[in-house]
Amino acid sequence: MRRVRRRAAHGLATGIACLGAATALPSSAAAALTLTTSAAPLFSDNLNAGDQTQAFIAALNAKDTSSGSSPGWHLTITSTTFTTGGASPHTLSNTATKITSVAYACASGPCVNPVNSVALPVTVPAGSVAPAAVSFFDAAANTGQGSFTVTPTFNVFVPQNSFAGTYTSKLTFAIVSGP
Amino acid sequence: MHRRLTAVLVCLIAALALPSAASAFGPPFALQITGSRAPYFVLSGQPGTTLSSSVTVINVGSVSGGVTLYGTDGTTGQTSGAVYGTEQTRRTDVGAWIALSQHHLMLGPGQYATVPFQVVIPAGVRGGQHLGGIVAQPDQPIQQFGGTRGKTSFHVQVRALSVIAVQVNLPGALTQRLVITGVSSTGTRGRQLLLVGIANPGTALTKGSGAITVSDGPGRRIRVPFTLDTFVPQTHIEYPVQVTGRALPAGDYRAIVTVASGGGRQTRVMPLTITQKSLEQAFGSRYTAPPPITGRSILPFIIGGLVLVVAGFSIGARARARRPAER
Repeated sequence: MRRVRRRAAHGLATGIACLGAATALPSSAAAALTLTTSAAPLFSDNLNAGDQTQAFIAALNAKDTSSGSSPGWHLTITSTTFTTGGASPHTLSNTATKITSVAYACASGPCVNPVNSVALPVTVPAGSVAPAAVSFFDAAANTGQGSFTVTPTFNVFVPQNSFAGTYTSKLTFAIVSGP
Repeated sequence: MHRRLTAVLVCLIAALALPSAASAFGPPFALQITGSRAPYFVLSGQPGTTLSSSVTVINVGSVSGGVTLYGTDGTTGQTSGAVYGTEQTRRTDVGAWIALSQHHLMLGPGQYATVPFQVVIPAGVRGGQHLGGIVAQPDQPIQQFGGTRGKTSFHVQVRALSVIAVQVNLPGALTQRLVITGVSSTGTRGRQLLLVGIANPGTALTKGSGAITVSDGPGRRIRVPFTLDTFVPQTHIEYPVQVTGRALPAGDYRAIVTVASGGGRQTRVMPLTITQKSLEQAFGSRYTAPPPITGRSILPFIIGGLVLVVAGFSIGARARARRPAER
């Protein structure tokens, strides 16, 4: 371990990244916040059935192993517009996608339940280039410690006059340690 | 002892539950300040100077993978709260000042790397607090899942980033101030929204709270309080406030907006016009009257109507029953 630390110090001094061949996290990493996402249902649509609001969920697992004082954490999201791509792309509205609810549950204890201050629904920002993100869930200071399943529900509005095709959007989640 | 902060590592994993999911995804990566338990970077410097620090990048997954690192600016998200740009986002503040010694790493499971970086502060920038971040973006980020039926299908690709904030403090007065810049209305899919323009013209990160009261004189009056998370200096948002209950019909109103932060409070009284267009945005082109939009059930009215009908029949039946006796 000392050798690893010396190597890290050397890397810092020389401006070269230092790889630590550790089998465990560095000693200062006594805590970890991890988010796992999965999305179960993908939506498909019959556009002859009128305006549709399609729902899907992203099952996230947030794990914060910090103890004592903690600054909390934030989950943010941004996206690109749903588009068929190609030379003449058809798109959905940049406000088509909303997060309408976020549920959470302790996945494995001990847990200090997150105190969330984000009001819903939240419109997921969208653009040809993903615009500034928005927060959709957070854990206030000294909360959110433990392992949690966080499940936002997304609704995507698909107007009846949408063109048939394959629509794709990139969702960019981020988990943030910051003010 | 109780003051010891445990460092928070930030990482994000994208995983798929669908059998049709794309191929295996990369490991999650965590970021932390090298040799510190502080949750994020807070650096103090002077304009025209360079600061040095380092970030530790950790593969906390069980497989090897690559990760791209870059600096980014912090800004205020529409719902308030600090948010951070992606690789494509133009950088003009701290994100542009961050010079990482490495932009890409390959790490095995459990392996970590220390990446020195510099913050090159331009001369002439304003004093106070500036916010940016360092982003870890896994190389195998895009998890695609979707479904097809008929001629139309939808796919969602998920990318997962980890961000650790970099706050740069420069000499100068710290002013925490939020100002109200306007109010307007819009709507989307059955929801009427009031957009409250709020700006932080100050030099410090701040949090706050506020409320909007809308009235049409002798008629209806609504009041909606709201909480403002971290507001980055020199940023502006249109904070969405949802009108609950029945939508406000088209017309002219008076909006009283109050915002408080950092010990200061501002109240502005402004005209607010609800346009037919904004109502149509919310409720469609056939909109004619304010519909119930949330939480209001018509069940009590139905029950009340049924009670009245039953009572009417009951009274009528009794009256008919009395007639022979009266004769």
